[in-house]
Amino acid sequence: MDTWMLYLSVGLFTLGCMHRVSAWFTRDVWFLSRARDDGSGPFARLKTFARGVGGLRRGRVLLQVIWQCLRHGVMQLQVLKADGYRWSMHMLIFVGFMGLTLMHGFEEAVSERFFPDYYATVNPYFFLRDAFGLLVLAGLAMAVGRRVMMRRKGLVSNGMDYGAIAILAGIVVSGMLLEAVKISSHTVFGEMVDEYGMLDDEQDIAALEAYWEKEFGVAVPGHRGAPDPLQLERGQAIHEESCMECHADSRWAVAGYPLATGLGTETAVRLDRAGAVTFFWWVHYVCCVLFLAWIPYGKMFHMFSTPMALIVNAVTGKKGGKEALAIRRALALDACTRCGTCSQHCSVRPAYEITGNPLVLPSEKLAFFKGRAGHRELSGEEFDRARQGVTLCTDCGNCGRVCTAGIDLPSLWQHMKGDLLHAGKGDPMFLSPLAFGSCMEEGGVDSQQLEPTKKRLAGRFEDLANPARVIRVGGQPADRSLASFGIDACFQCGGCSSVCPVAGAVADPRKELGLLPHQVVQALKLGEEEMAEGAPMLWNCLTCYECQESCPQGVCVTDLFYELKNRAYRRTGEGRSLASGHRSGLRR
Amino acid sequence: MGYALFSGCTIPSRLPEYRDATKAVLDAFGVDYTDSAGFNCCGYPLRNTDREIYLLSSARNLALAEKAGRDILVMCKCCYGSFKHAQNALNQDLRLRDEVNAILRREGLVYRGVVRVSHLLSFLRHEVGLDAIRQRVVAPLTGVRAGVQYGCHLLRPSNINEFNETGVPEFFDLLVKAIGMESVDYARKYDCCGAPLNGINSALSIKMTVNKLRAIGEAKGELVATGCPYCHLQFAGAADAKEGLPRPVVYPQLLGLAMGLSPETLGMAADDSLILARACHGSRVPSMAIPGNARIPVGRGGRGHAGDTRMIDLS
Repeated sequence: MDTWMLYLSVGLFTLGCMHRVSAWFTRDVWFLSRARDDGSGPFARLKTFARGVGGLRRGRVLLQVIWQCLRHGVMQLQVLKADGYRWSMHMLIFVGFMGLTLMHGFEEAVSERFFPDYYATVNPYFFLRDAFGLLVLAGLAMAVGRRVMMRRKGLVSNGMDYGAIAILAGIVVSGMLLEAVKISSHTVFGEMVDEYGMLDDEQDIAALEAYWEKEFGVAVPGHRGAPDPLQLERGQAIHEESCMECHADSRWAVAGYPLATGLGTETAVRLDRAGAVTFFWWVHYVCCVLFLAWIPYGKMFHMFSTPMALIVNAVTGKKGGKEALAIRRALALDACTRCGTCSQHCSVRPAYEITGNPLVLPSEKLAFFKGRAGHRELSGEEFDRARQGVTLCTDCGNCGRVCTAGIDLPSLWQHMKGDLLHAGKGDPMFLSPLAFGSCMEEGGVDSQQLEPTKKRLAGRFEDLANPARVIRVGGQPADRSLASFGIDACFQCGGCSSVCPVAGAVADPRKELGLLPHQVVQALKLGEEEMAEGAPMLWNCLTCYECQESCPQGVCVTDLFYELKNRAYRRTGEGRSLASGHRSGLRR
Repeated sequence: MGYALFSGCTIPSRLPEYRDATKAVLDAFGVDYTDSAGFNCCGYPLRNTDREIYLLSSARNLALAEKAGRDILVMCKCCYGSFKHAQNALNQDLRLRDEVNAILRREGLVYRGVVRVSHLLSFLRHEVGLDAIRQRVVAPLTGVRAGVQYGCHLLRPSNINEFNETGVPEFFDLLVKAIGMESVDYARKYDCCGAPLNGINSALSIKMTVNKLRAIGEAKGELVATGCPYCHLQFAGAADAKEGLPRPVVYPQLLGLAMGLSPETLGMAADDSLILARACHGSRVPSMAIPGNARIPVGRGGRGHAGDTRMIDLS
């Protein structure tokens, strides 16, 4: 049964790993799947990768790879540089778990082969097993503390993050409990005496039992009162002769021994009779095989993918053709350890506080696109939320700078923005300085691509601005709150329009801008709010405040324009989907 | 009360040399500042579409500075204008402030409205002062003619942005003159650079930028002194695309050179671009104390424009 489970687990692990690794060569991260084909298919990527591996024959490259393995994989200097707490936490788990895996988990393959004196019950191995376990537990406690304490500071955790902590804790705690019940188990004591003791005399066995009960926490059923000092002396002699050489003092089990004595004799005896040793052995074993099988399907795969990504980045640098870039991008999706640091440093985190859309945050965006990359088209609200998440990015590059897995996150987001714009599906939020950063990037915003988006915002402007249409004079502004911008005081001197640098720069203002600034104000005074909101003037406004500055009547023209743009944005589907549901924002 | 330096989003990713030069100059003047306040975006890019996110973004930064007990020193004019507007809105409308604070409280922050926001240029003009600058100048950039770019979001709206200098603003001209340069008068000197429309209506945006650069060139300006990443990158992009236009240099780089700071500390690679001084002015101003091989990079266009840096031909 147990071997059968192990085989199943190893099989699942292998399949999962193959799946994950194959994704490095097949997967691509597009916002709109198959929106652009850059020709970096699996074969091209495999060839590039093989060439890279072939390059290892050169000593310099090999040395570099080994050095990077040490730096990133073992010492994790990139984490140390970013955050001492995280490094300590990760090191405790890393050292403890690696120690346990190699020394205890693979004792036949590693310990017994490389350490001829290895024996599980002999020091230093006996002590080390517990010490490693305690290191892991300390690290896990720090991890839980971090997840809970930093929640207020923007650390986002999901089920997988807590799941990973739980299964590691499960392995270590069940191991310690197993050890504790073994230490106190009279049955195990008996078996060991039979197997190793070579004692025939009942008196000798009783003496040894008394000695182990007093010194090493064995819970003997039917307590016989204070032991006879002579019997103890005899027990000690037998112990020194038969046991000591192969079994260290149980007190060296710094986790198991206190647990064992903490149980108390009666509980320990009862547990022993109920078969607790077998029970905890199974719990421990099942935890281990579950963990092994789960590795390639969850975030713990980062133990392979993160060093891999860092090494590939370090060795290839930013060089390489589109195939290398595609491999790096696909690797990046796997390399995320979900530490959440990027989201804590995200420049637009306040947008998450208002919209409640986690896809604003880099770590969540990465997880989302990893889940769906290359699988299916997005639609409906999911599309809007993902697009908003990608669009809101200001290209500050913080996420990339703080990422300890070396993931080039900013270029991922730029890549996705490019996808949206190329398909003519730009979010109206692009009609803002967000476009400035993006247009600086290769393949970023080209203002022509925003035409469909502008059309959506301009609404029925052309119908509404038709000169043949009759406007009822004497109507009231549709929304009185616009009066707070001072529009009632406007007497149409046209000063705002005459200082407007945009009006001065375009060849045909009526065609390109629709309404000049003073006409926008007049439209509002006539109750034509929708027409004012649709005027191309708004979306060609520099927001340079020249109009507002020069208005003799104190009309806040530029601020009014901002408000109208906000309203026009809310009128679009994007604005509405934002405004409804999870929005926990301020009043408008 | 010290300062918290606010770099925003654009400077770290596209114009890091501006931050390097600013820090070098602030260090040289012994200014008490920090550069690790954990700020987020000022909210400027969202003003067009979502005022709520904009206001919360600004307010969070202001609250962070309050918590640190520091005033905010801004290097970007658009960030500056956004902060001032947000402060004004939150100080006028106390209900709005309560709503903002309700969100900020989730992470233990509160906006009270006690932090001052200054832009680097006005800080240099008014807090450091022209006399202090003149005293520190060891290598005046004598004879170099610059057109200064005030920038719209720094100056206007003047009632909120507190640049109510009588008549026309002159602080940037004075700063440029204090390091020995000449500040030229040119058409549309106080106009916008065109950056807010780049990406939205790029053709119109670049047209306005080129008009400004041409006007500076016509006034015999050899470079544009800037104090804002948007203006700077906008000018650099236009000058990359068209030959013969003056290129931008961020003011703290000019100031740092005049103060004798090494080009490396100012974010200028020694062999990066032009020798502003020696090569061009060596004959005219032999006393120029710029080190022999020091080359002043002018108008690095940020990422994506690497290798496009050019020498300004001042001969």
